[in-house]
Amino acid sequence: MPNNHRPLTPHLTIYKWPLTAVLSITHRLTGVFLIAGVFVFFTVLVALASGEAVFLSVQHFLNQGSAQIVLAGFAFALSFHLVHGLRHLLWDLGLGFESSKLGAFALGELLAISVLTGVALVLI
Amino acid sequence: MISKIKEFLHQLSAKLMALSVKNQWLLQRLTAILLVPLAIWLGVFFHYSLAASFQEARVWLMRPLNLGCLFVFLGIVVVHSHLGLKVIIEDYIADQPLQEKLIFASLWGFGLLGVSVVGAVIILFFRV
Repeated sequence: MPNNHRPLTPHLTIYKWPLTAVLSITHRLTGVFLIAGVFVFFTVLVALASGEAVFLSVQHFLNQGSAQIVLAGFAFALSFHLVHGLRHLLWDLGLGFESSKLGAFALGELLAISVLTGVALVLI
Repeated sequence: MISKIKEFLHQLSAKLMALSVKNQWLLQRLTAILLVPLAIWLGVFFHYSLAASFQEARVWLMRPLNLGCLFVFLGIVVVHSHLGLKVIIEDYIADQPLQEKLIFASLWGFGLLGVSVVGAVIILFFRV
């Protein structure tokens, strides 16, 4: 069967999504969002390399309210991607697949993500 | 000369695109593990970028350890981003020719971005 005529995934909207599935799709979304974060990192880096005037302009912009909200979003996305990425690594080792523990693991992840995001926001 | 460069780039893309699925999987995990400590370094980088003076930020970044972290981070983040985006493209784009074009664009987009930023940093910091 040609690849462009493959059957489609079942209609996802008819299922009640388990928390683990929500976390999994959010992991991908945060990954895409973090690619935008990489561009912010590159901008800051090039500004720092360009000289004081450019650096101060970028710093001033990043310290404004709307930019701070976006940076807080990046802090959350990075914390999320990091914590859920570690969980993927555990899954790759064959650990944590017991259905009885999936929900507890997911809640533990959310707690860790909240703590990490909080720490990141305080530090930066 | 230009035809030789085009031939080289064509062969290089063919090799990179043909990287086995297992090797891509391993590379994505390896880069993910390396990015864990570098995420902490990134947090400190943003702390200096937002709060420190230009001189403080520059002195901090010019320390050998931080310069090392910077170049390692740049290389790893480019590879990890491309591999992650490639999986998403493969999973959600059913049209095969479009899928291949997007993966090709991702490969060269991230590759050129990484090389440009490393080049810009070397030129601007060290005034080469």
